[in-house]
Amino acid sequence: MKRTKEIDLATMRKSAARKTTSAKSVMLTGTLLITGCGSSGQEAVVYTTAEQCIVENPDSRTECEKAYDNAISEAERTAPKYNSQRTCETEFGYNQCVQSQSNSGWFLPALGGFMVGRLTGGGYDYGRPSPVFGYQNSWVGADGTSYGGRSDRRVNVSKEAFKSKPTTARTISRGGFGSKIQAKSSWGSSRSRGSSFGG
Amino acid sequence: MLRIQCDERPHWRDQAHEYGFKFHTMHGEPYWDETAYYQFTLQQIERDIEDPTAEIHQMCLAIVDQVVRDEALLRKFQIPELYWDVIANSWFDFEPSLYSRIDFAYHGKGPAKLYENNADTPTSLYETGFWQWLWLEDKAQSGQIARCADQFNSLQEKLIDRFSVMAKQHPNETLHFSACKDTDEDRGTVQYLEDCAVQAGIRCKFVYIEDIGHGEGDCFTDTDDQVIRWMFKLYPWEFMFREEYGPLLLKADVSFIEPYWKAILSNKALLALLWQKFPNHPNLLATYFEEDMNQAELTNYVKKPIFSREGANISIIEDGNEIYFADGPYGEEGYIYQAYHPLPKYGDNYTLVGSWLVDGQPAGISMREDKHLITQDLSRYLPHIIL
Repeated sequence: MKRTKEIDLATMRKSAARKTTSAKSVMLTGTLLITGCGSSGQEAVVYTTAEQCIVENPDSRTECEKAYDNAISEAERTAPKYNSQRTCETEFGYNQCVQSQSNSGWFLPALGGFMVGRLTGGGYDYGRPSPVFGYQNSWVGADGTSYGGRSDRRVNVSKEAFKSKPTTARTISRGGFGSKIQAKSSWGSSRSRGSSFGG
Repeated sequence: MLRIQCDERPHWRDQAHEYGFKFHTMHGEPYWDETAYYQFTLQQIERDIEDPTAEIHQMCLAIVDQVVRDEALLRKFQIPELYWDVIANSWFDFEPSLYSRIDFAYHGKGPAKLYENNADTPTSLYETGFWQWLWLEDKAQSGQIARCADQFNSLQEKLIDRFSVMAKQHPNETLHFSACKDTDEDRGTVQYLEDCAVQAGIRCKFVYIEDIGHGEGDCFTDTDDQVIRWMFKLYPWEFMFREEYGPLLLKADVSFIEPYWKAILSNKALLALLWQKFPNHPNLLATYFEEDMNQAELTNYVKKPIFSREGANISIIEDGNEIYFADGPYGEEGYIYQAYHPLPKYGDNYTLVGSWLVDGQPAGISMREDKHLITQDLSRYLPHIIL
């Protein structure tokens, strides 16, 4: 056979049919979160300081301290960055932003705490802490994912929450690519759209 | 190779909506055309298309290997000097490529003749890998085409496999996909690649070419200020090299699909070098640089810009007379001259075979028809079968 053996048509659909499916799965996840026994989710706890972590886990002093330091550098790398304290505070609230340690021209939300996942055998996975930030009444990750209310320290999250987040950087300018195609397209001004590149 | 008239599937427009195929009609003209299909024998496909595709690709790679080491040739290829090193390094480091499309004039017998190599930003991918596949499924199901009919089209399977391999080299990294604004066709092509990458387990994000940002610390950013580390761009290298952010490419640490060396593979100057290195190869047409034309003895030839897309700025010369000219905005970088070998004509239509490669492996074909001798972006797309 010289053609693709099988295509999963459901993954190729773009219309309403697909949306209904994803709405269903969202509802399902919601149910699992409430019951707190979803196999795909993970129990986690948020510590706002290293001390809080140590008090609750006296045998894990070094791990708590390391996790906190780790969360600080991860926050610096992955948090959204702003040009001024004010623009940052507009998003995260008054007094909730700090100057970047790596670049004094940047401001980012202050670390609200760090979240660690509960291991199946008991204890916590301090090696992969996820920095969290206070956003209105919720804890959010660097990518904006909400992890529940700020009053709840024990949360149930997706395993994605502990995956490494992408690096962010303050953008100086935009629009430095795309000028050539604009010039080429305006040549064919009778056309109702820009040219494609294939042939 | 036959052109066979057939009935359209009554539901295909609804189906197109369901699957998000938006550009089946462009500028009020049909682009996807299933009022006919092409039929090949297995021997035609394997002997005349598939094998030459693999061989020509290897021949083209030999030229890339020659050009990256030769400053005079890099100049002939109109590659700005600033990018010579980054192109050579991408070649010597074996930076992986995803896909290409080689265009052939094929008459159903005799050797298919290479027109050009679209190795950097080929489109008509979704129509090939998915849409014509679905057409054959439907036609076989309804009994209008024999169940034993096949298609030369393992594109989707191969793309997903290729992305799975690439994913291993970029663990936990986001792949940014990018295309220009205001073109459903390019956006649809990139969406299709995104769908394939997702099925290979890759985390994907989309950003328009025009929205890419320059981030502090010499990096590229998307509209969420996320740093771009791995990117598929449906935008030609020859444009990127000449735009404002071009020099930033050298500082920003980004893995690109397609890699830099595709700037040479997709360049039409390659056609002239192919003829120099492999003269009289049955799948090649005699092709020359302008300065070699006095010794070339070409009476009927096609003049093609080194950088050109969708048939723009191409002229056909017969016995010194220009018999056809396609207008366009290209040509300032110079031309190559290729022996005139017209496309086969089926009824009123001239037919071009596009032969796809994924990671250097032949992966299927696309059929394009045009009323004119030169295939352009409004040429219709027709499905094919092997029987």
